[in-house]
Amino acid sequence: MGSKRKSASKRRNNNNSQEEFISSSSSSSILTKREQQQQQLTGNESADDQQGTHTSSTINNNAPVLLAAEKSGKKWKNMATRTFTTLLMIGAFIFVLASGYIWSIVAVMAITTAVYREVIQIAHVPAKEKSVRWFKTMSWYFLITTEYFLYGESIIYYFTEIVMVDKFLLPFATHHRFISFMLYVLGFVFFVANLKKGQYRFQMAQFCYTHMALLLIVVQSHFIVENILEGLIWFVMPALLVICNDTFAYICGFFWGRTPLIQLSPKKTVEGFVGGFIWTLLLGFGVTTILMRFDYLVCPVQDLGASAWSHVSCDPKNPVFTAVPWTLPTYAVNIIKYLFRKDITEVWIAPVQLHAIAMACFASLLAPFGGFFASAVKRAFKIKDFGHSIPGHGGLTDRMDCQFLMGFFAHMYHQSFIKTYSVSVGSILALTINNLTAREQIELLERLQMYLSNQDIINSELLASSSMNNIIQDAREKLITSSYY
Amino acid sequence: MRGGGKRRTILLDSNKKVESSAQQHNVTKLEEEKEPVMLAAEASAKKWKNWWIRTITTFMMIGAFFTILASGHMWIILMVTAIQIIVYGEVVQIAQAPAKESQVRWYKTLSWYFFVSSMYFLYGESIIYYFQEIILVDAFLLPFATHHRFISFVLYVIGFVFFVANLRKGLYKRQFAQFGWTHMALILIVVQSHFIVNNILEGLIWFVLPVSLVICNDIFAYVCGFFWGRTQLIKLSPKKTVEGFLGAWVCTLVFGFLWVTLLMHFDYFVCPAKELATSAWRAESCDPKNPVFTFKPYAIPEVFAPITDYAGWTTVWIAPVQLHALIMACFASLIAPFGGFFASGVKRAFHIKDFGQSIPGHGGMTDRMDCQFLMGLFASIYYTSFIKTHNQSVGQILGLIVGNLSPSEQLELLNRLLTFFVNNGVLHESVLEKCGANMILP
Repeated sequence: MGSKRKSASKRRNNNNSQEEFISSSSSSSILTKREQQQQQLTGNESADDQQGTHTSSTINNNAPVLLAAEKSGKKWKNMATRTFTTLLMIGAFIFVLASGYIWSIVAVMAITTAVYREVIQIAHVPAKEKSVRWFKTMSWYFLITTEYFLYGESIIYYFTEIVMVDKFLLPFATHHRFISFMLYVLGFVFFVANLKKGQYRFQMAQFCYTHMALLLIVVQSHFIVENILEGLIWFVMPALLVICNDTFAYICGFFWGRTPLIQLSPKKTVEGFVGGFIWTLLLGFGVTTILMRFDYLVCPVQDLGASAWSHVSCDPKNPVFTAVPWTLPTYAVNIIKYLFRKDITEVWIAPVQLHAIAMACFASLLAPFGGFFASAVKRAFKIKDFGHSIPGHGGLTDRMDCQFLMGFFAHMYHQSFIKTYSVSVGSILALTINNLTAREQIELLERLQMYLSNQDIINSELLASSSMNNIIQDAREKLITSSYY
Repeated sequence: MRGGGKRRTILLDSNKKVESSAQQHNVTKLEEEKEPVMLAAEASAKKWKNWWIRTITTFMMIGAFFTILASGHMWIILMVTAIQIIVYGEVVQIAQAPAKESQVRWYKTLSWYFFVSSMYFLYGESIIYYFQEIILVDAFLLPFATHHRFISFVLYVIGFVFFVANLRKGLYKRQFAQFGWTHMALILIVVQSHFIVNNILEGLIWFVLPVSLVICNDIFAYVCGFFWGRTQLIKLSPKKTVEGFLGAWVCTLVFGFLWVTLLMHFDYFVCPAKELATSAWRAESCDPKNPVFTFKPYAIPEVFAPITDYAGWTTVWIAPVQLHALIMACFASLIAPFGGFFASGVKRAFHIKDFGQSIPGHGGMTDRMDCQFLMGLFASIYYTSFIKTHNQSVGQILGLIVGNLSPSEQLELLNRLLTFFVNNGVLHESVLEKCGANMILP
């Protein structure tokens, strides 16, 4: 199929989408005045619904042509494009991963911003038409405020020992939530003051849309960043599982797809879905077994600048990575003895491999609903793709739609079942700086030094000769006179 | 006047709206074409008649409020929960009408499902945080506490999957709009109420004070507008006036200062909740109280010297909480009303006069509570940031250090602590070289 036809159809779709958004969002979708327009919408949608969301079928009003049944030439040519870009993306992913934590985080932030921009863009065109100024500015303002809040929380939590001791940064850390809240209130007040007669419903719809975009994109991607900080494997593994599921669902559908899966995405098939599930389970188990051997992936972040070539190590590792022996039940032992002539009574499995199976189940069975959600959004606004950044795949949002939900799940799962909570230098420093008065802080310093010198961890003679006591006494007296005490 | 379709029946009363015009919230399209009539300029009889209805219901509400206030923490929390449910119900109802006609089943069920899941999550978080010693020792409750967030997440995902599976061709846009509407309602109502419940558990004064400030501001804005209102404040709410706004601000400042000075003397209001079965007559005391409640002497600035010397005053005793109350009064008068304007905007966007009919003379529950949510959120964040003390002692922290850190970590802690002191000017820089962690034994 010619690229000319494709771009013409895309243009038409985009125009349609803008018109629809204008007309149906001004009567919004809640209390519509014009029932006739609703009829019209229904009519339009049924015609356009026949198009697939991922592949390049021609526009027709017949039943969707499943991949397995398509003509050979077209099918394989498309597959070539998709395969090429897929390999390119995976290569880029591995490269960024190896470059270090900070680059991975920057990559996630960049993708989040790009996806947010694609999504906001859809609503921006009608805003311009209605001369609602400030819509784009406000969307970006709320994005920056939300990112400030979320990343601030992470930095304060993971890098307490650096942030809390700095005189300039400390008040920003202590009052972080209040500052973020006032920034948000500023945006809220501006929004309310900017409501214009005759545009109330439209502006309210925009407000709602912006907040949903923030929730579904920015907040969820923030959880992905937290995963990175807990250990790169908790970022890589979920991402790979989703990619794997996508790929194998496509391949299985390519060869064996017959039964449609869901009305929303007509090209997805049950065979593809189930095939993807099985392959994801197997590959998830296998990939995790390999990944868990690398300290670089397993250790929580200590130094943000570390990369795959710095020698990252941690001790003790999280116990999920330790393989423990499981005794096999007798029937299994007998089967193996019969089949392989080997006497294997126990097998070494690390808990993380079982967690990987649980995650693979979510990636195959539930994360795709994030994709269906995005498909439905596209249908609601009558667009074929969110953007055109990636040839053969559409926009960035089209690729990333399942990742957000998966990352969110991975974070929740990790926090609930895997994470170990331990006292660290950072957490104690935070307690000291936040909760003790100045006098108590100095007392703690004194007692700590006394303890360390008594334990022979520090040299007590050196301590005495440095007249530390005098210094502390001086400091105390200075504090008494100032109100800081 | 406007096209048909299913619409709330109150709009049929819009013709009668011309008579009952003393409400401060919405004006129908018909009246928008005329100049809005300011309260101060209205005909006497009409104005005073409405005044009566509003005053009676206001007193009834305040009376109910005080009764519940005296009944104890648990009843207050139940009251907040009940108000939440009513407000959420009113808001969800707005998007419901079209759903019935276009065969979107499950909208109401799904909205309430998400509501229950959010409540489970939020109330669970509060209970786990404030009543740790009870939850963590119980064998049945412990796993619910440990995996609380995961359980809540799973509950949400179930709702999400159900929503996606229920999307119907031709109805996508409407269903998404309802999905968005539900989430906004959850964020603006349920999440903000959660902060109000946390305020209650931190100490009743942190609930009573913000609520009273908003009520006070509302009342005085109405009163000042009644007598002196001339200039329109904002197009969204045409009956509100600049005179009312400013007059209310001044009155709220004064009221807030006096009210907090009264409340701070009662342990019942000041102490955090240790258990839920309290009441005004069985109030427990707490020790030590938060330092914001302690009066401290301040020297009177010289500007006032002539007056104070004459009266024989040398110092003035002020408790920090009184200053905090002034700041809260400023927020209540200047910013919380924007929550009300936002609600007015929503009503205009959907061409409804009131969110509901529960309260005569005032409209629905949402109409009364719209400013309270934003105020409660502000009070909670302000409190956590500037007032809350976390009670730790030197001994406790030392215990953590000795028990949990390795010697190298202890030395690192020492170094960082010294760095903190040096950065804050408490100790001299040379301390780090002389007394830092370089003093390890060879």
